[in-house]
Amino acid sequence: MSIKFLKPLPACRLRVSAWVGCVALVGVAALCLSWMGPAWSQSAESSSALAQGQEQGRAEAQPSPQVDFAKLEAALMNPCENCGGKPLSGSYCGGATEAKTKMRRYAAEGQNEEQIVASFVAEYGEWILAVPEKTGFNVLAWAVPIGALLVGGGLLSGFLRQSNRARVAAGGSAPAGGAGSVPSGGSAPGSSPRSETADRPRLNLRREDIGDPGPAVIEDFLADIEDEDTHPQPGQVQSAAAGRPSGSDLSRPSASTGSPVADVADPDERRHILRERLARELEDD
Amino acid sequence: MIELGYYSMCAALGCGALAMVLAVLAYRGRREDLHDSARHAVWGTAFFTSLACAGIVYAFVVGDYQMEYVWGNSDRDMPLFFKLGALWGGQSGSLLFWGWLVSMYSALVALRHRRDGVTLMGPVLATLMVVQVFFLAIVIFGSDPFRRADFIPPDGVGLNPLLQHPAMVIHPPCLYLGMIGFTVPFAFAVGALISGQLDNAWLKKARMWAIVGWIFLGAGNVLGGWWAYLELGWGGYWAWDPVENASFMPWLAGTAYIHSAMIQERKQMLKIWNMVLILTTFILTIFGTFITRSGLISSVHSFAQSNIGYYFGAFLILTIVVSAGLLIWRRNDLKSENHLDSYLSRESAFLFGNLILLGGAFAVLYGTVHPMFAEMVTGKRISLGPPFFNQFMIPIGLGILLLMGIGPLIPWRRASWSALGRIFSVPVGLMVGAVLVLLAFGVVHSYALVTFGLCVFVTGTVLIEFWRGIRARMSAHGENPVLAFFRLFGKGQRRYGGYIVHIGVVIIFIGFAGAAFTQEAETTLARGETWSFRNYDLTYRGLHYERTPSVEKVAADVLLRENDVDVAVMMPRKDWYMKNKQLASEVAIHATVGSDLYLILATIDEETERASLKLYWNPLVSWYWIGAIVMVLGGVLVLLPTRRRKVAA
Repeated sequence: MSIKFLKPLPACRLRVSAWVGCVALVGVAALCLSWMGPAWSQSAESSSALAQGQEQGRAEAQPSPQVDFAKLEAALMNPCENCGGKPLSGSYCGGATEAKTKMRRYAAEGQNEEQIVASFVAEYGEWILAVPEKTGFNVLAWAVPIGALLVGGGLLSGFLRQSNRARVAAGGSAPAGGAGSVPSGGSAPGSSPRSETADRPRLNLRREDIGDPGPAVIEDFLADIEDEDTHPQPGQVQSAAAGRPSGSDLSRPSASTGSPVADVADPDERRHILRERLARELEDD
Repeated sequence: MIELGYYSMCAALGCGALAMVLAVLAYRGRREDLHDSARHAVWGTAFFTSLACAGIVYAFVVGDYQMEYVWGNSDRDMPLFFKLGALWGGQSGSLLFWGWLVSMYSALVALRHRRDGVTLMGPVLATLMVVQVFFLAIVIFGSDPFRRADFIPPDGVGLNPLLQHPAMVIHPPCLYLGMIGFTVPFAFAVGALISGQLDNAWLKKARMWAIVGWIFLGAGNVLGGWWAYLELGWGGYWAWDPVENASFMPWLAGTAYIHSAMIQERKQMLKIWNMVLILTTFILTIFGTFITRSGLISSVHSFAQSNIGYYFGAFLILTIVVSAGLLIWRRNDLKSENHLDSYLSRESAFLFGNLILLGGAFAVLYGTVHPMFAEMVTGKRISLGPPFFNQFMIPIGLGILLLMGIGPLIPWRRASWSALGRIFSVPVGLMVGAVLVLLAFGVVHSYALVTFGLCVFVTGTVLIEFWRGIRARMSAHGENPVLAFFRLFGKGQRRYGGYIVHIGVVIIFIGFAGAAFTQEAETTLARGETWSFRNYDLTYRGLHYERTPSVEKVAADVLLRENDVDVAVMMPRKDWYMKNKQLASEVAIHATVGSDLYLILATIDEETERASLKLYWNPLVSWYWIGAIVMVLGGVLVLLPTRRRKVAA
């Protein structure tokens, strides 16, 4: 019995897996980091200058300086039934004021932050916590979005693999930095990949797509031109604007340079020549 | 006026239903004459809904308190400005306003696409009219704003004090324009699915409407944050409240759609995915309205619980079922004509962006509804507050920011690792440099560092794109750099407008990063006492009283000195609305580009004149507002008509 999943993957698939895996790992790591570490707002609140402000000022001091009331208020919801699900921090209605007073009284009685939170939970129920305990059904609050993100990543990865397989089956080239052209359009059933490539229009880029010589368009154009320039194919290259030279025409020997672009060894120089030709071409429009 | 308004609504419902039937018949028989009639009926619907809205506005202006809605949402002392805003201040008026906006969008669609064939436009108009009829039916049968009271009250009870703010006059229309704006691309998608015209035609026609909806929804969200910042007095502008989430989710899905649609336009790929995205966006707008109106989830600014929720629940289910059914029916026709050329390509970057945006939308959605599920399953109430959402949305936001930097520079179709190294060396270098500089200045907050670094990275990529465009124009046309810069927008406004939007988002993220350094403090001061905080001195100079016929106001007079120089007098206030018997806080804000000093009058002791003050030092908040303005401007730039180059025959 062969163990299929232990077969070495082709290089392109390895690259895909690495790419998808890296992104998934980064995502999961970021989520874990934010989960385990202090969240932005929490850390902001923990860096509150509550105590600092009162020490600097000539105002009255807090009864229990070891309790960070700002942090506590951010960790609890406003118990006022009329004011909706707002955090206690920033609530100033009667219910909120009462809860804040109660919090300070507990602190004055010697309770630490955990004990104050426990007192509030005992009094109001678990809903008083801005973030519930990660136990029981509550775990789903974290697990479902993370799971959905991972499933989405898996589906995307599957789509990319399927797309890669379909492209290779249609006679496409190696991906990601691999050489070769990538044809557009569907494939005729029964014909060989090679002949399909030759017969099919090879440029996705149409003349009307160019419009303005924007740099990304130039990059596309150059990608097409270099692609053909490096790997010339037989067959007619189709241009959407009939009668106009296509992208591949630009890579032919020109009067000015007198040599095919492929003969120029330096890639930067090659790109420069192509760019110049593209600029001239666009000016002709 | 009551009769006029009510019968106008009924006439609008009749016209809407007629337009729907005519559009269906026109499509089935491919009859242009019936299609013309359907279009006229759409315009008739818009006329009658406008008349109904005008009726309510008139009733507000003249103070016709026999109308329960006018009585419950205004009073004689309210300024005209707020009386106009009271149209959408309550449940039934806002639903009518929603219906009116649907009718206006439909009328504009019928006008703009009047020369388009019945095959696509028939189902499009029919879909729009289904939505129209739904809203008008709800208004007439479920929440009639023209209901007459049994008696004629001398005065109204007034609008909710929290809503009496200029932002609330602008924010809801903006939000509604955004939510309803996505109805149009949804209708085009449904039209394409029904008619089988699944090429790029529907996508191109829907593009403008999707961007209009996206701009308004984004602006509406920011204006809502502005209102919350000024009016709710908790020191921030976003609290992951269910109602905020309800409008944020479709914005995220809409953003994914707008980007994903570009791939279909260029490569005829992702046809089914784009359908899913736009259908999801519309479904999320209905879902958001459902949770806002049903009272299912408690929120600071949801509407009162009513049976309206059942209507929306039913419509939501219907929309999901019909959308899924159409997708399944047309699944074979929606197969892509092309394949991805490479995993290292702009298409892939867009797809990862889609994943993150939708992942964010789903995290927000699940976080919003999980407490309800938990209560149903366990019988115990729980809350998911801002810290929960921040755990997900900060990394997701950073992921989006990263891809915003990668997207514009990575080539379409394919890139190689070496090319990527060459393309991204400058922006990555700038990012690393920025992080090192910040570290040297003592910034050690990890999220803030990553955010600032990525902001520099994205800005770098956008500037490089601009520079390359300018250079291309300079070399191609011999233009000077300034002229080349402006002409970039003249001919490539879609691309460069998009980059301006990205710059706006970067500025917004700088504002977000500032939240990492927020400081807060509170104290109680006696008259004449001074409170020192950072480099500020706040001297409390006593209380000021003011009384209008409906409001009693008491303000703390606080002199603000910065580095021993007087900079402002801050007057945080408590307002007592006598008719509503409601207390509202008015904060005082000293805003600069660098930071906001946000002062709240928490409590007062009128006998001793002691005042409890709460102070937030919010760095970089202004950047959030500025970024939003830039983003909207970029969006408007994208919408400008493209100058097409003549193609020689």
